[in-house]
Amino acid sequence: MSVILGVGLGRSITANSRKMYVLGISCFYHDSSATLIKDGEVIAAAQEERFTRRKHDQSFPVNAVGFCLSIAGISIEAIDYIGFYEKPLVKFERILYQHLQMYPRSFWSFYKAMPSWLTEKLRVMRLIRKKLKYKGDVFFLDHHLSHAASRKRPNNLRRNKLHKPIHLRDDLIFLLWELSDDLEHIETDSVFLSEIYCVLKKGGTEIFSTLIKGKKAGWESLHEKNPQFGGGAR
Amino acid sequence: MKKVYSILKYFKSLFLRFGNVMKNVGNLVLLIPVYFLGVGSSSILARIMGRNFLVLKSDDDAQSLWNECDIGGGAREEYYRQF
Repeated sequence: MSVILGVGLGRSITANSRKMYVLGISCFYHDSSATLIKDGEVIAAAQEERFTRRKHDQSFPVNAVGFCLSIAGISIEAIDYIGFYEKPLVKFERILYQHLQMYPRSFWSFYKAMPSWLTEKLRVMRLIRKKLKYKGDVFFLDHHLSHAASRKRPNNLRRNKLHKPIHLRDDLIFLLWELSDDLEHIETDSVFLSEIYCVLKKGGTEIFSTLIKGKKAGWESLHEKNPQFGGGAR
Repeated sequence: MKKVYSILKYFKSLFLRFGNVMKNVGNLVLLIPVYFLGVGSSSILARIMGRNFLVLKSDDDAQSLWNECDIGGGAREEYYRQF
């Protein structure tokens, strides 16, 4: 999700020759993550759960941010903009509307939700500045715009820069990847293969099934049509 | 030494549990008036005024269930806002 952040910003603002770094952050709901974009190009991304070893960790992604910065070899001072994946007050308004509409049955959900809203979610700006010791600008993007960008951006990146893979920690790539009936949702075979090669270890195994009728979709046939991938995995 | 460590660990867990209980009680004491006075009065007033915050009833005559949403292309200042 955090891939999104600042992709558009990075492109539009990079007018001078200096490198533009935009850090995207997603947190406080599920699967906190951070992404670093250099001149409009994703160069590092990580989820916090990979460092804390807590599944779907929603805490502020301090470790993921540190990882992204270390990949780029920069400190937080070099970051030009930080993008947060949504506008907190818009969501807070929706939550309040739900409680107003469902009163008095919404008490327990109100009781459970409000403490985190008051201590974290409504104070995102302050938390970013405090936890990362960041003094620059923070942007807040529309939630759905972030979704749209995270769908589009990585695919463009991988399709165009296959010779230059995203840096992933060793425990972020896998020996075995299994996909059941997902191939029919992917527009082109090359996108599917690039996604697999990003997360599969060399010599790893990919198992997939498809419901596409009348189409030869075996691993070899995919590689025949897309020779640029070679044959690292099987 | 090990015994002292285990005793300290036990007291630490006890203290954390106590802190958790106190947090829940504090939240309850603070949020009950906020909910029943603030949210409650607003909700009752909204119902009297006929305001409907969530579209819970389906409209059989509606052409589409989707709502138009303009999310992009705004001024740069919009990105600084949290709303």
